[in-house]
Amino acid sequence: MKLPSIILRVMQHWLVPLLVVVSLFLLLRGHDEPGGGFAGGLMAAAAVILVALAETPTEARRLLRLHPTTLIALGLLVALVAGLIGPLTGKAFLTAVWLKADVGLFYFKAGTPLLFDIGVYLVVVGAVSTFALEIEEAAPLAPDRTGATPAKTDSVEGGAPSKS
Amino acid sequence: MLLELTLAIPVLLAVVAPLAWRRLGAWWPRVASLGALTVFVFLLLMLPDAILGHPQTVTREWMPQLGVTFALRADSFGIFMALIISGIGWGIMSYAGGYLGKDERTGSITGWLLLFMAAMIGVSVADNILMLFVSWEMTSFTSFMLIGTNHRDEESRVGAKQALLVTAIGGLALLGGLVILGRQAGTWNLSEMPAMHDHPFALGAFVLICLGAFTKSAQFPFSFWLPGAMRAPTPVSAYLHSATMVKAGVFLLARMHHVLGELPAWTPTLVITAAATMILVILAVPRATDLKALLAYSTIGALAIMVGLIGIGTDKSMTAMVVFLLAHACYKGPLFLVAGSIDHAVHSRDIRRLGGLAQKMPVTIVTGVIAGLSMVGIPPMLGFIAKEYALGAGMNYAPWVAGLITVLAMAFVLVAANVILIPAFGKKRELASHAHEAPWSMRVPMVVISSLGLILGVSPGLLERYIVGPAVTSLEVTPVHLSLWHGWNLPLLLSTAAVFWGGLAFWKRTALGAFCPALPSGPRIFDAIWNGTVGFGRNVTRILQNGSLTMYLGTIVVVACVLLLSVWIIEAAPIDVDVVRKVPIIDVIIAAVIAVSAVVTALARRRLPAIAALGAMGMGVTLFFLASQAPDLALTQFLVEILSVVILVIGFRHLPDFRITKKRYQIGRVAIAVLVGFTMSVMTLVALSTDYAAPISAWHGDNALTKGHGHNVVNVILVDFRGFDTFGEIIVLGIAALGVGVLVGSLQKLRKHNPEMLSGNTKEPVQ
Repeated sequence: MKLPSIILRVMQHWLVPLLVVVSLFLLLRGHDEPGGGFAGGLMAAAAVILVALAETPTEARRLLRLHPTTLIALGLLVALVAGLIGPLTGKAFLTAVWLKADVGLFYFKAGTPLLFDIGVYLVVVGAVSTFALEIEEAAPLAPDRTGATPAKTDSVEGGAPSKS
Repeated sequence: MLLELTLAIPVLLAVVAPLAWRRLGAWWPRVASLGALTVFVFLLLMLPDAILGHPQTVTREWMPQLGVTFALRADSFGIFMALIISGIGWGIMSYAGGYLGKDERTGSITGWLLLFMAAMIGVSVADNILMLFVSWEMTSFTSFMLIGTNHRDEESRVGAKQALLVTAIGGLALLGGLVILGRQAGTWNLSEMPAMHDHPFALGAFVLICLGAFTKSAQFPFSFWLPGAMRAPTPVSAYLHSATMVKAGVFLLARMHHVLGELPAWTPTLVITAAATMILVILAVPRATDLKALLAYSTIGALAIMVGLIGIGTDKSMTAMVVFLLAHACYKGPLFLVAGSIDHAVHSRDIRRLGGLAQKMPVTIVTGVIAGLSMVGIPPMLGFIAKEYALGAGMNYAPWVAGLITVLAMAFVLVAANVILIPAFGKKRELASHAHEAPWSMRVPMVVISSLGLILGVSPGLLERYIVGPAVTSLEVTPVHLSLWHGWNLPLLLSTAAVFWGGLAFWKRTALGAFCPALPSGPRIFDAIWNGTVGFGRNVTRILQNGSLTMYLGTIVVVACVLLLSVWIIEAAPIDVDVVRKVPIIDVIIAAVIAVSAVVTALARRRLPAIAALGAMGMGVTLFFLASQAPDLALTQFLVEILSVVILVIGFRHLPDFRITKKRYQIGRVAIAVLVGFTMSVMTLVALSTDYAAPISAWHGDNALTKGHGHNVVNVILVDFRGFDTFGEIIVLGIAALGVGVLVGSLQKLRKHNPEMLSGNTKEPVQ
């Protein structure tokens, strides 16, 4: 595989931390401003993919620390726990429970919807990283590009191998 | 309390069975049989109340919205049935201990048997008809597990599958029938159900309930599953497929007699079905050579007699049915156990290879003779009384019914002689040399149950007063007087003739076997239907899933469009042109950008330009969201577009280079694109032109801050108001990711181990 562009590799060092911070920012402010777990998760996944393309998929996995599948499972677990707090207080599954404190100038609120959104965030990061990393890591299906043994995945309609 | 325990004891024992078997070893079957005996005693204790007319009841809420109540009512007929189930159950548990020996499956088999016992008692004492249905299905399921015990054997699996499919289809019909009855009667409790025969829906309910009962009790044309079920271990066959489960259909029909018995269709339907089944049995018996197959056919015949008697529905016939039910359990159970003992001793059930076992297995053979005499109907056995009353009731209805029962009784003589006389006194074969008597745990149940047939036969007064009489009364029919002997009359003559001709048939059995035509085999018909269904499915799959992603997408999209458009045309849904005029100018500009990108995408001949143009189109949509003041949607759309393009490009790296070369492929693609575009435009316009109900968006906007504590309405909807949907969506997302992982992983493995599968032009989908 040919080496990725040097510009991409340099930019990556600056962009990835920025993307991660913005993604967390989107996640946390999501309840009141544009953002949320889904958008935040996509942004974080973009950071992972950037590393995978600029460096290697292995490097991207190292950045994630946890296996993407574990992230998905963890996210679902967090969302489930967020949903089960409602029943603990005698309400239906996924009923929101809020804690609020108004200390002078500082207004604080936290609730199970935020926890739930964190679960969404984790699932999205895990799932999108899985899509990208699994496909990226797979060895090319047709190493011989001249088409000696082309795999006919969707070229049944007579896609002729080109000589590019 | 006692009533709940009769269900709780077997369920609890069933749950601990696998563990207990490992801990207790040979003691476990004894414990299990003791459990069954306890249930038997509890039921006996409840009998006096039931006879006096105030049966014990239990009522607990289960699913009150659906009318499902955990309602039990131990009336005399229910207790009568449950006594048979627990009594035979006691014998079977003990017998299974000896029969299976150190077989490692003993734990699970006894567990399923106990669970079956609980389900069957549930059928007997259920008052709520939906509760009855749940128990009924549970018996089908446990039967499936027990037939398939030997799941490494192909034929066992086939037998189990047939039994499950046939009884489950019947079960579905039964559910329909019961729901009709319950809704129309306004009560779900059997005891409160009025006579429904003049209700307009009664006939429909009756047909459905008949389907349930006939499949369960192996009546024509559903008889074939019962011989197939004989692959189960013999204790299972003895318990489920002769003494108890197959009688559930008879039991249900008896229960329904007071509700639907006056229906004009009741008698002809049941009597004709029973007659067809009897003819089937009469033709099948002379050719059968397997001990268990012979017994299975005679079981089907006995069930047919009971169905016919319920169909006739007179006082005499209902009494005869109850006596027959008891007599059959007392002789057919032991006969199966005798067959099992012979199989256990010499490892064969083929009557052509058996003979001369009388000296080696005296107790088994004597038991078999007692049970066989009851089956043949020799006085003073219980079987004699049952047959006399059945013949009498049949005669009162129509002479041909009595005639048919007589011929069937002849076939029973043949079965009894084949099953007992040939193995016991036939020419001694080499197999007999190493035969041995069964252990005590197997002998005791056989002896006890078969001698019941003798004891009850000589004490008809006891039978009438405490067992049969109350049971018949609780079916809302007046019992007739029972006696062993009632003079020289026509039934006795017919009965004697049956024994005589049966003996003659046994003597000339080879000639008779050759004379009887081979029947079209039920299992073969079932297989034909089964294979046809599966084959049809396979062909449809081959056409629809031919391996080309382009075809998949094209099919899905075109079918969806055609369906949507046809609805639009049929419903003549109006389009209000004014909605188009109200569009602001900025939207028109963005729409133009989107349209240009769409045209470029559709015309692209290579992947990369296509995906780039698609991305541009997505960006147009993002712009549109921004213009509509939906920053949240725009942000998400923007990210999704970028990531899709990136992931698609990564994916393309793996595919061979691709270019559309032929004009007609291009035209096809453009045509599909136009069709989709047109459909979606129409749908959007139709949706905008119609006010079905007040939109709910206002509610969300008003309540986001007060109830959801958030300023971002979209997010509040996602994580709070519609949190459950989101939860489902992230589960789907996770599953999709796992799917990608598995697909890529298996592709890698495939390439490593058999690369030729990927290179070839494989039309078959890769399994």
